[in-house]
Amino acid sequence: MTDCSNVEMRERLPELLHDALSGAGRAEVEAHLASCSDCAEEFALLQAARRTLSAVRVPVIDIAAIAAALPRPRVAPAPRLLWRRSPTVLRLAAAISFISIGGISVAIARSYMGQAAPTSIDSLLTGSGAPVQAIPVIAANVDDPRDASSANNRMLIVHPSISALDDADLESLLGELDNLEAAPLAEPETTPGGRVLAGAIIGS
Amino acid sequence: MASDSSPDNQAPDVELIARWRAGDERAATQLVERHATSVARYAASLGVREGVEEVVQDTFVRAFGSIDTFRGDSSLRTWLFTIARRLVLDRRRSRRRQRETAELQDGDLATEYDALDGLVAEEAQAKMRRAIDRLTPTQREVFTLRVNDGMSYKQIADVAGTTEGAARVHYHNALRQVKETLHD
Repeated sequence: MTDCSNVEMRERLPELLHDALSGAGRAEVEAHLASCSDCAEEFALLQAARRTLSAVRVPVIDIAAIAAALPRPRVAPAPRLLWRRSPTVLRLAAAISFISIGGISVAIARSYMGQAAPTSIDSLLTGSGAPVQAIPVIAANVDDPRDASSANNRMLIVHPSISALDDADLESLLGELDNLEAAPLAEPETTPGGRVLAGAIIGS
Repeated sequence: MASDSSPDNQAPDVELIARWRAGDERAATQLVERHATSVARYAASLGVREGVEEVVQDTFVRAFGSIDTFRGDSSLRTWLFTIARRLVLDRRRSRRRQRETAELQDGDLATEYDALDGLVAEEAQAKMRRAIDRLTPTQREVFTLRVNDGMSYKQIADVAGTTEGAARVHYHNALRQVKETLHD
């Protein structure tokens, strides 16, 4: 028995033996076998070798015993919650929540401080419940036209009960104020530490 | 087994592995049924005379215990053969340490390999058996995997821990040796 020089065909003989060739490949090898006695002999040898090797007697395998000895499958547990997977994730989430709540709180506080509710003093000044828009500081010279624009720009608001007085009423009011100044000053009371009581100052 | 044409029995190995992982223990039984005899025959071809069942069982226990390491880029049977081969070699090493058996070397196993003894009545098959017996253990293993199991050279290389080129050389040397023995 000699060896065929067509190595590719010889390499495919075991595949033909196990029916592992495609239709075209199988037809090609079978056509070669029909015309090549060396490959035909080699293929017959492979068939005989396979029969011999397959005839090796092996003990009957107890399938059930082997299956019983196998480890149990480790069924994958249900997906764990995110925070259980990593403490770092939990810490990060807590930090983000703290910063967010703190920032929102500060923003709300600033919002309230910028639009504070009217106080009792504001009510006294306006004579009503309306909030004061500006604090009167210096009386503008309204008779001077040069000051008119500046007075308007300053938005100087005078107490409505005063601005509604005419000249006679104002003079009468000033006179009463003069009488008040003529009244004797009360001696300011002092605390043992020497502090002037607020009430004395207010009374002056 | 072979006569069972139910869809379950025709399911690919990878599908059965996936089902076993999901908790279906019947899938493991089907895989054992499908491959146990091949593993036993391969173990016998390696010269195992006694304890073939033990080798087969240990092979499957080890395989299913580390099924997560099975990448699926080779066939399950190739992987099982690889495990069985390691087990056989481990057993031999263990016995060698106990001075109960000879070392696993080429030539020595030619006398050790007698799993076919008394199994083939036909004269032609007896001659073939003797021809195969005269192969070196490596040649015999490669020849068996190629001819009896239909493995590619790559699969043989994976099982035997060698290269495709070396597997090809061993196969052709074995084939030449068998031809010469048959014509003596």
